Amino acid sequence: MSSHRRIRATPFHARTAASNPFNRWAERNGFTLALDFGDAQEEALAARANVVLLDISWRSRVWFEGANAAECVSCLMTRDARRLQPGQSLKALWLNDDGDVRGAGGVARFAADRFLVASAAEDSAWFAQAARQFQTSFREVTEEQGGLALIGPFAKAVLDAAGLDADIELLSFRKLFWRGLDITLSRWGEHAGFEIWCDADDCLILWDRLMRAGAPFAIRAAGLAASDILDIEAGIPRPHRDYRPAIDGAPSGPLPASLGLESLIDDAHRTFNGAAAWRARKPASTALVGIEIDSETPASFVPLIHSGAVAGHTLTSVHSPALRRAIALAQVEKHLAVAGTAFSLVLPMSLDQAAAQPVAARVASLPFVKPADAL
Amino acid sequence: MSAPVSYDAIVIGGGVNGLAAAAYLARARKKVLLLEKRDGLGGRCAPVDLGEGFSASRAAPVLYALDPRLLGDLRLSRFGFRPAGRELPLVGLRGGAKQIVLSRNVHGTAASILPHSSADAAAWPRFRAKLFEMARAMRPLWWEAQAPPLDGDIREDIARILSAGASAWLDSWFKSEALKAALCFDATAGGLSLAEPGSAMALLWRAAQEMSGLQGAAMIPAGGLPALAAALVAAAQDAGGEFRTGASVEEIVLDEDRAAGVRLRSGEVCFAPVVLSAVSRHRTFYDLLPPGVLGLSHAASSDRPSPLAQAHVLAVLTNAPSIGGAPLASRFIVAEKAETYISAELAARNGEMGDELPIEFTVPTSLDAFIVPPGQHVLSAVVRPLPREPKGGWDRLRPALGAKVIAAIDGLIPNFSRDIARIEVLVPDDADAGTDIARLTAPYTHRVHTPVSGLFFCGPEADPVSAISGRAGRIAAQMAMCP
Repeated sequence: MSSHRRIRATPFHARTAASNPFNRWAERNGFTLALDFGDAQEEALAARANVVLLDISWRSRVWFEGANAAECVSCLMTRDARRLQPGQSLKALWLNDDGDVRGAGGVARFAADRFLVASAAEDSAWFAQAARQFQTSFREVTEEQGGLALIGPFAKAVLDAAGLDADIELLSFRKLFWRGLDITLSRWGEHAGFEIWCDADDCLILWDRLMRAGAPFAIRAAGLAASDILDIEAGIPRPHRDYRPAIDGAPSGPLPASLGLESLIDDAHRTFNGAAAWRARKPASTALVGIEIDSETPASFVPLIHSGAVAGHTLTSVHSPALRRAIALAQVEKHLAVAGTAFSLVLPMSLDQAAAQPVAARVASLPFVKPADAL
Repeated sequence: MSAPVSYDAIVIGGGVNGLAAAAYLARARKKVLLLEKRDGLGGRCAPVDLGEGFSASRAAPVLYALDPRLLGDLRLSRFGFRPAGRELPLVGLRGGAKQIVLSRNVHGTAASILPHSSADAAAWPRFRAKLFEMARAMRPLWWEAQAPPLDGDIREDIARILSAGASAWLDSWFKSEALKAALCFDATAGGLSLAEPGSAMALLWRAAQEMSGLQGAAMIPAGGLPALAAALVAAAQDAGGEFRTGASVEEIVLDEDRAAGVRLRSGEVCFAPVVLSAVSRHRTFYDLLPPGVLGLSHAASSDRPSPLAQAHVLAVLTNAPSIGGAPLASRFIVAEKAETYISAELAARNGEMGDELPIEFTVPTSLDAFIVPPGQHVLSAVVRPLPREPKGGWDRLRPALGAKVIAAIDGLIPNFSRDIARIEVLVPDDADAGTDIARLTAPYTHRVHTPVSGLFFCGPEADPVSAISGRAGRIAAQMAMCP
């Protein structure tokens, strides 16, 4: 996607490079990040059983500020940000004029006239032109800060050990001054973990402190591959990975319902962009489901066969160490989106698999794996 | 604040499209109110007092796209509108060489081309016939709200034109740089580029127009453009239309998702279930509607005027210019070759003025069509392409532009600079919004209809090419009156 875009390093690169024994890297949102730190499967398991540290600096973050910022963000998002109090956040979609999904992310209200929008894919041009229409100040700060996610049942314990008050609810955040560092501690992520954000210049200090505090809990760094496993296990479709956002010039994009994202739209919020078109749409003919595959080999973007006919297709597929099998997100015909519905698929061929191999699969409830409770 | 007043329709903007819309609505017995923020009506046709007994319209005084239906339906001749010059030939002005005079006289035109290229002289009758044939075939799209699809051979011809840049298309017909340079000026209307695929359509659009019953003609009205504005005002008032000047609209009032009226700067609210906006697209969708009412993409698309623009340069002369080989009542083109346009465009896109600039000028006082003190004359020049937002601003560029125009014409007309009493440069405004290929190929309904129920757009960008036309106003009024 970004073959012609400048690739940047995150502020944690010096630490992730030192910890990346096999020098495996991947690109996400224009940043180069460690694919894994030795074993993605073990890193994903550690997020279930212990605690891991993930570099999430690649996530796009933009500020909306000004007297009309609340109106602007409210118009952009499918849930009404005007209802947030400072310190609160919500998750929402933003749609194009035709009611297709452009993006999904979180909105945090820092002050009456100040909002932060964070997302897995950047859409700055869209946000900027919306801000112009509302005469609102817009600023992208993705490169100005770094962020770490602390995920796992011992995440809170690590923060306690580091001297941070981690007693905050999901979808809340707090600005703190922590031993000379200005940080924001939040719970915006999908894995019941914590995020810690700071200025780019302070990132290496942040990394070192959290690693030291987490050492008694066997903290380890986790790369993008482990993050992908966690996302799929949580049932989260990702932009540019599982669906093409409906950005300008792209073909008609996905409907919220076909991505299982309807819960991010508030029916009572009448005036978000694309609302009229979305409400006028016919119901989606497909639904997002989880698929368990009777194989350890992932099968991304392959057809799903039901009663001899193609009835859907997988999206991203990974091997789940927690479930010890391959799993996938998938879009299937709506009437088949019932837990237990049986499908078959053909595993992709490879050097190790020269012949097409059909395997059985079935619909599973999402999430595949719930986040572990904090200890 | 006075009690709210209710109308059948409100028109925002008193330019030609707004006046036309108001006149059509008034003739249909609608209680219509037209609101104009300036003190006078007419928009770019309104007289601008430039001092010392000299008055001019912002737009150059040549009409080539006025909707013929306005003349008949509104009976503008009853209200003083008449042509001073019915058909102006197009003259490619050549220093030290024979002029190229392109007129309705096909054989005379061919004879004029002959010294430059015998092959081009032979091709001219076929080119003109083909151009006019294709132009007539496109008229339903460019003259009415909707048009049936084309069929037959003409459809194939038009399809080829749609992918052709104007310069490439003219290259396929002619060899003479002088002839091509004269023809290119009309292809650069609205900021189009000669190399842009589809810009040849601009030549068809120009040839599809009809003035004084003559296809593709150019006309100068008696009394200049202010006379046109006055005739439209009189026609609308005669039918019962109401006008208010000095009335700036601040907001289009909505009742849920439909238009309900307008709010003026004074705070007064005027109610109407139908609102027609004849101001620019940016002002209509960005300024007058609350943000978020239209889709964000739709509103954002109103925010990108063409980077190319044109300026109107007026030279007051103490003597009538002497131009040998062509009638003074002509449209004169000053451009050495097609590359002149392309070089000027490249400079303009960089925010600069080109070293050589294409110029079209007329001498409207040769037709008694201008307000000047006795004994003086006016040369009216349109210069394009120019940067819409030049580096350093128009205050810096204005004097240089005037000097460049004088120098260009001085080389072609004896004693021209000696006879100049003063120069006025009228820089681009938001009524000169540019055009694009999409507008040339889409029906009026796509531009006039808006996502807000009861709101119709008939500003400069509603026409395929922004010109003194009135057609968008007529069509918007007709669409507004449809149940």
